[in-house]
Amino acid sequence: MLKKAGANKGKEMGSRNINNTAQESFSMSGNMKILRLGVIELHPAEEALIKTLFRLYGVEPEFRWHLVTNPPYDALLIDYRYWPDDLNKNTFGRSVMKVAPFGQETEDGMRRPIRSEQLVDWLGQVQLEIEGTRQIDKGILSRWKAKPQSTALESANIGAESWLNGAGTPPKNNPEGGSRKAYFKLIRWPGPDLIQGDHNRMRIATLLTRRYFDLNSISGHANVSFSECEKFVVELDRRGLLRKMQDASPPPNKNFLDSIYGSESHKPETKNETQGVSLISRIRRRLGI
Amino acid sequence: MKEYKLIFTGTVGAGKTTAIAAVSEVPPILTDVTNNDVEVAKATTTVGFDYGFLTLDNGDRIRLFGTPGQSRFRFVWQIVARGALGIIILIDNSRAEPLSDLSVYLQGFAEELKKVPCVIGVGRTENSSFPTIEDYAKLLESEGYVFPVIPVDVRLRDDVVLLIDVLLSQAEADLS
Repeated sequence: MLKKAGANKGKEMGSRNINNTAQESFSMSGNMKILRLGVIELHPAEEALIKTLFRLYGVEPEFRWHLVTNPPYDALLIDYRYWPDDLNKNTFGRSVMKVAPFGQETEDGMRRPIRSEQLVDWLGQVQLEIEGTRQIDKGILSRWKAKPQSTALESANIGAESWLNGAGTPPKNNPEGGSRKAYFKLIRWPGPDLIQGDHNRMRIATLLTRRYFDLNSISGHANVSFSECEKFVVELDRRGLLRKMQDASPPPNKNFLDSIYGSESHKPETKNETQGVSLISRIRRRLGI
Repeated sequence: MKEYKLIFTGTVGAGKTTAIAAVSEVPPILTDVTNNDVEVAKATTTVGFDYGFLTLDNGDRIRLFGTPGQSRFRFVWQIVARGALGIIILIDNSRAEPLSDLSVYLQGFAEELKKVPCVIGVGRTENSSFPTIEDYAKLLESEGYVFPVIPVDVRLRDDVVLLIDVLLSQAEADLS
């Protein structure tokens, strides 16, 4: 029963939350601008992950979910230990989701580790239901639901699996080609606790000092696996070290070429670029890098 | 044959000459003289340019320039940095005001730093833990820069190579 959660303040709140949710969130009215997700007894790291995901996905205007601590809620994630035994999964429709034990398959809940795509897909369904009752633009929502990966992180698939466990998540091809992308740039060089003496992290951070990159490009340029990149980028974002930008990648910084070849150079730019890349490779070879 | 420049700059005693020696294929050509700066515990100091070089497989050459450390030679910095591939600023963390030291070099190379890659190598952090790497990063941010800040021991070739590698990665980011 939910009373299991009454042993401490948070659990009490969780108990109240479900009731409030039933009464308030599921009888929502009017033109609510944001959608409210509550969580009950999830691990703090999972809450942090959800917050981070929401911040990253938040650059997508159609994404309206916020993680909140107080009711009313539009959707609730509940740890399996606090899931009422007598609560039928359909009692609240799709809006209340049980989070299963770590690594355990589940038919009626969300698997752990929480993955961005399953979270966003579920929220998209809830949003569709909510918006459906409100007769608001379903077209936009359908598009959102149908393409959960084509959001802030450009198919980034940032998920608990990679973040919490370090497990790899292969980069996904963007089926849309020209869909919206999120680009990141460093605001400030991260401290040693984030770099951890790891040369891959150093390379990623170094790239991000110069210009905006999307995750796939960082992975390619740094020659670091996508999952490792996303894990580090999430950490950078959590520390507030990233500036984000949507859609258009800024042009490369050509000052470097101007500096070594001269801004008055009459050589075609592509030739300069090729020479620049070749020069860098030669220096690396010479130094044994 | 083309020649390119990499600049090593930073405070007196920060290890510019040592860093060049760590990667140069010839012993660095020194222009040191007896140090008459009583505040610096060092027998000699660089008044001109130190330089070493690396020859690439196509015959091109990377010249490794060490600037004179003392800020009275600031006019020389701008001349030597013109057209450089990148600038490595070495800071001695055991000095009295390392953050102020960094500011001096950021101002001294301000024109070039708008264009070329730059990395800050902070030495002697094992004995002097303050300011921290974050303190340097915040100073850079306040001055409008985002450069890598890396603790190094320039006596170690790998550390100097790492600094150069970071510069090259920045250049790659510009080219991509």
